[in-house]
Amino acid sequence: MSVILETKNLRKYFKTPHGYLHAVEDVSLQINRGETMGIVGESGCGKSTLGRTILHLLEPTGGEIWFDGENITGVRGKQLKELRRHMQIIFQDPFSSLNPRMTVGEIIGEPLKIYRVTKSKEEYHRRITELMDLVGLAQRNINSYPHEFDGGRRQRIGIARALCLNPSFIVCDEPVSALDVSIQAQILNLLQELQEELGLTLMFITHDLSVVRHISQHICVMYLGQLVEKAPAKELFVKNYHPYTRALLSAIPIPSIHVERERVPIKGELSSPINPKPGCRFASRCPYAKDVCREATPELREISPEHFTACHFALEL
Amino acid sequence: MEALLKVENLVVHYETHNAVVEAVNDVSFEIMPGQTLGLVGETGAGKTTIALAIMSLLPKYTGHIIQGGIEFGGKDLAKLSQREMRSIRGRDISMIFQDPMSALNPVMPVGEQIAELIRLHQRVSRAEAAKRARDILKKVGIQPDRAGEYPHQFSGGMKQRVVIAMALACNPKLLIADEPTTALDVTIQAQVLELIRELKDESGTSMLLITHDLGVVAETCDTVAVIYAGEIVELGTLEDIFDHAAHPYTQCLFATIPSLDKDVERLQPITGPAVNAADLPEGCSFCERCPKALELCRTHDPHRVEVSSGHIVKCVLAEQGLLD
Repeated sequence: MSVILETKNLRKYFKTPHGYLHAVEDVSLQINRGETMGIVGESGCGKSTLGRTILHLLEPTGGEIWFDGENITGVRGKQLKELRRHMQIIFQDPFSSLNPRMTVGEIIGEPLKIYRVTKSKEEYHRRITELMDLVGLAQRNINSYPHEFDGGRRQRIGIARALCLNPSFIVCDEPVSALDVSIQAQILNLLQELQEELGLTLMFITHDLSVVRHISQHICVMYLGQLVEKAPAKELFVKNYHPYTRALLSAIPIPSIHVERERVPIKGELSSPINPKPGCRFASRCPYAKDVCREATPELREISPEHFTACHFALEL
Repeated sequence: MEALLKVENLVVHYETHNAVVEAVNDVSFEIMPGQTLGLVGETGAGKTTIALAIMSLLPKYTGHIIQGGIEFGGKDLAKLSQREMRSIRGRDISMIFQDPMSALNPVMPVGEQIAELIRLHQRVSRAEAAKRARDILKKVGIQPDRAGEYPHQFSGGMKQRVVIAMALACNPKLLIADEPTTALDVTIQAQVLELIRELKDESGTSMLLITHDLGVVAETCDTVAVIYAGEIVELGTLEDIFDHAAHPYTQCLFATIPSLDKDVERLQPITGPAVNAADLPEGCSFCERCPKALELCRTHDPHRVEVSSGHIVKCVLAEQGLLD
């Protein structure tokens, strides 16, 4: 299986009046072609920043990004525009990510105009209706405006726009978290169908662990900008090593009355990502933290095939 | 045992200049002292409207209680004046809102906000109220020294703790929690739910918990009401709803959530868009999306049927004894 996207020690810092905010810290991951990589973590853990940095919507502070065997770190101008044909994004909020003054047809067709893909009006129109069919929007809605739709159908517009230029890689940034469960299932199914049909590679960013387990082949767990655990999706829920992963998994409320669970208690809340101290960033909340955790940053190491974790005591806990 | 809160045949409409939105349609339920009722449904189902009706906080000119009674402690809340309601709100019934940021006054220290509420309902000195505010902050896990800080100095989870502290400051008999953890991360949600549970058990407060998350319901509630298009389509104990769900909508709701331990190739979504409360169909409001709908469902609005003791289902299939 070939790797389509790889990051090597990717870093993204933001300058704030109080110092540098380390949003993404030394993240190295590979995404295989045709697969879905889930990125989970709580708000502020840097998962969206990671996605946006990969797409060059944000300039990386350090590290490298490889796409399709090429180093694309820091590409600009024409090259970047060409690259964007192949990498697209679906946003979380289907309300603010669509221009309220443009019709559905105009929104979906805008990339065609920017890239001058279609030769004639008929071809332009044909491509738009094709995309609307693909995502399950009725063609009669081509001249409607976004406000006429509910959240689920608005998200379909966003998906059609992302698919417009036949990209091979799409970052889905919380595409279903603004939707009700019944609509959420429709969109998840649509994404899976499109992936199979078009051979897409997805990077699926979410805070919802049951969604990420359902849709991805591999999962990365992030905490305060760092990758703390990376594993095949199903395995992560059965066997996990990092105390944060355990706490996170045990905190999900399960819709069943027959599950008795031991909650892994974690104290307190996220510490500040501005000028963080060395060492494991989870140490201040970790029930097992020892002195070494506050001194040395644990490296991501392979515990079993394809299963990585960044904890000094991964095998002892 | 006498019910603490008894909502009977409640109908609430929102009237705008071009439509009448039938937000709550003939809703009845009871909450026993010390119990928690979960109100589950999707966006726009009317969950929050029910809470606002109980609190007499419906928008003044557009929201109207058309019919029905809200009996609480021997009084019909729907008939009380705003002045009388003011003495009940915050003392006998209090509410936790979804978004803790907009529920707090940004230009007033949190300790003062809690003390203000105490002084509004109890005859105590300023110093005594301030002391009680500090005590209650400690109870919800915030250092009493932080009483002088402003809401923006707290994180989301901490702000929700302040809101909880405020809601519980006067030992209310009933707590209405409207999506109290929806804006929070899972690990913080676990902490906040645990806190609400502890405080509730300690003081014997009853609770109406509004949520769309069946996982939260399973952990927190004693009884559950599933609401769709302003109607309670199914009502029962936790066991009735989670193990013997009878209404097709409840069954669909469980089927659409991805599971943490079972593998499925595709989820089973509920087809079609959510119903428009400004234009409800003549028959059952779920029939358009229902996988088990009969021809009759389009024209006939089903009655409530008690399928087992306390387990109420509003479905044509239940009326005809066709439930599986």
